[in-house]
Amino acid sequence: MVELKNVRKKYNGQVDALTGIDLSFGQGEIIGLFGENGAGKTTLMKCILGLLGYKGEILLDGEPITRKNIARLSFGTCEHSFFPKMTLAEHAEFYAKHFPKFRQTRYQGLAEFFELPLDRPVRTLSTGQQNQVEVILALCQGADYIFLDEPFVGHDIFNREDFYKLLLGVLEPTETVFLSTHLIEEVEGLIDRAVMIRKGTIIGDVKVEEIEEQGSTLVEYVKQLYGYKSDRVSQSLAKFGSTE
Amino acid sequence: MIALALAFGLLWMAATSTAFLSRYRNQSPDENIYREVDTFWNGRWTTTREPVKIASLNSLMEGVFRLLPLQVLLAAVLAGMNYLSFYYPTRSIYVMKRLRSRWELHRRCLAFPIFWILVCVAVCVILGSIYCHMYFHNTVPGRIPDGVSLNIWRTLAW
Repeated sequence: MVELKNVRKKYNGQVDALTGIDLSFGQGEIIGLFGENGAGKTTLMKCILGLLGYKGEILLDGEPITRKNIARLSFGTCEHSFFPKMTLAEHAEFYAKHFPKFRQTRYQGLAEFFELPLDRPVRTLSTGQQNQVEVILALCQGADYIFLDEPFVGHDIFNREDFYKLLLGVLEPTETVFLSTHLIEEVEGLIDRAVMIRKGTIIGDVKVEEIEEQGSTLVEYVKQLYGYKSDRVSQSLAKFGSTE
Repeated sequence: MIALALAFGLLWMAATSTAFLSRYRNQSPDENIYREVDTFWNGRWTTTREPVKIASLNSLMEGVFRLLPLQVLLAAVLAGMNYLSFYYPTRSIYVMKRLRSRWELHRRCLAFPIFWILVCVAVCVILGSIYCHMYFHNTVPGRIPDGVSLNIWRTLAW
C-alpha cells in the first residue's frame, strides 16, 4: 500500500503546489487522478516517485521509498523517460538487467501489437509511437504501482481505445495503475476510483461504482465538484452580443 | 562528435609532444662538441677544452604536453554532456533514479571520460619516459648539464 501523510510541496519556497495531501491506495486498483492544469497532479506523482523533494511522509508498505523499493514503482510520463538513442530491443535488455521483475513476454506482446520496430532507436519513431513506448515500458517494468502521467497526449482516439482495452487485459490483480489524465469520459469505464485534486488539495476521492449506483456519471460528478456552470458560456456569449 | 574531437586531440597531443625531438636534435646531442675555455691558473692563462652542455631537460620538455589539460577539459565537457543527455531530449533521469544502484548513472556518465583521461595521461607518461630515456642515454656523456631534473608542471605549460 502507498500511503501519503500530510504531504506538502512548495515551489521556490513560496508557491504551494501540494498542501497537506493525505491519500492511500493498495494493490490492484486503477485510480484516475483528475484536476485542471497546475492542480498538482504531476507534482503529486513526482513526490511519490521521489523525483521532487517534499515535506510529510510517503510510505510503501510502511517503509519509506528508497532505492531499495523504488523498483516497485514505475512511471510513464508525457515528458517521456525512455532513452532516445536506444532501440526497443536495447530497452528490453536494459530493463531486464536493472529491473528483475521486467515482464519480457508482455513487452514483446505489446511491441508486436503496436507494430513497433525493435531495431530502430526510439528517437526515430513517430511521436505517437514514442508515447506507446513510454507506456509500454511503464507497464512492463514489473512494478506493483504504475504511475502514468497524461500518457495519452498525442494518441489518437483509436490508439487510446486500444490502450484502455489492453490495460484491462494485461494487468494482473496485484498491479495498481495511478493514472493522471484530462480524458475523464474516456477512462470512466477503466478506473475503479477517482481522485480529484485542485490547487494542491484533494477535493474528492470516490469509487466509480458509487457514482454509478447513484445514477450519475463521473463527468457529472466532477462538474459538480468543481462547481462547473454549464450555462457560463451561453451567458458570456449573450453578454458579448448585447454589448455590440 | 566529442569522441572524434577527443581522438583527434590525442593525436594532436602526441604530435605536439614531438617538439621535444626537434629541440633535442638541434642540440646535436650525439656529437662531441667542445669549447675552449681560458682560465687563469697559478699566475698564468691556460686554455682547456670542455664539452658543450646541451639545454636542460626542463627547457627541452617545456610545454610538450600542454594539450593534456585541454584533453581533460574536453573529457569533463563530455561527462557534462552525458549527464545532460539524461535530461534532454527526454527525462530518462526518471528511470535512472528508479534503479537500485545509485552509481549506475555516474558510471554511464563518467566511465568513458575518466578512461579517456587515463589514456591521455598514460600516453604522456610513455612519451615522457621515452624522451627522458633519450635525453639521458642518447646524449654524449659529459654534455648533460649537472643536476638535471624534470619539473612535470613545466611540460604542461603554454
